[in-house]
Amino acid sequence: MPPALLLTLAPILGLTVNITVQTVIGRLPLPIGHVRRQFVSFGCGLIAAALWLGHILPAAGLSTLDGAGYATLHLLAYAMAGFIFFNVINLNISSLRIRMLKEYLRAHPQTLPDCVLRQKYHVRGMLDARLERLAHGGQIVLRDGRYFCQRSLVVIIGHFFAFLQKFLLRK
Amino acid sequence: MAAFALALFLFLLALAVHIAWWRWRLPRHHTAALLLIFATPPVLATGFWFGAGYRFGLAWTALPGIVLFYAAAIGCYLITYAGVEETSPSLVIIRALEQAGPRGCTLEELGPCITEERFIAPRLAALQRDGLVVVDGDGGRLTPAGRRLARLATLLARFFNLKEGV
Repeated sequence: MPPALLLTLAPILGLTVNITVQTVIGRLPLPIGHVRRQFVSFGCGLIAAALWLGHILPAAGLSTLDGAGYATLHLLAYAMAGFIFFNVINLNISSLRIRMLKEYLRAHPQTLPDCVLRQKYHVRGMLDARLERLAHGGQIVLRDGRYFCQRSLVVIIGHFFAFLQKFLLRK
Repeated sequence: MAAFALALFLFLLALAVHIAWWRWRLPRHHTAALLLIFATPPVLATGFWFGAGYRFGLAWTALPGIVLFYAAAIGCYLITYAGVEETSPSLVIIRALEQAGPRGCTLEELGPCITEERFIAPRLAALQRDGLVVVDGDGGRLTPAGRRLARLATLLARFFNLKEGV
């Protein structure tokens, strides 16, 4: 097989390792949250992809520039595939739409009344749970009955999305 | 380097067209418009490549890598765009606390940020608009497409041993 084709296996191998590690550690009674588990499995996949590239690239007979280009292409492809996988897992945990779909499935083939769904996803419960999750993650802090924002990656992500909403959707 | 440069160029080209279109006027069906925008550059590039007799200093063996990169970039962008279209409750809370500054907010002050009109109703409407749920009496019922997606989500949650949040 031509070396350039073998290089294409790097992101596929990385993602396979990522998914495998995620499957295994998801079943182990480890005292770590799902986000940390995902970072660990993403890191394992990245190492596997890098090792594969390190094994194939020297034998491919490419110039240094081409070699760097292929390594960047495939490592970025892995990183983006890992981001998609990360979101597939996260959507299952925190996406309201996906959890509502699961509620409909539990009720299937019966109709799920809107009032039952709204009772389950009432806004006060949602607010309490989100505050607890943000406080647990260190993004916010509770002092004397008041919540305060902490400098964190989530704040930067919030600014990024606010900018995109204004720029693209003029919200 | 040509493979990486081409993959990046195609993605940036599609992104530029998307931004220009959205700034000019918002399309009616965002997802369909995005898919059209992202599908066009690779089709045009393949046409040029065949037309030019497979030149541009690129071997056919580089194509799978380019396709993989481009497809992954589209996936990433569509996920990010979904976050732009629908605001997450967590980000709304963070924004409210940031605006409050050193005063912070009590639970009662944060209450109006998370309303049913802002978070529950639009998502229920989106499920119906996307053909995943149909209105039935005073509630809703899954369509075959909704059932497939809900089953897939349940299967993934079981497989990766995921616990739902709120």
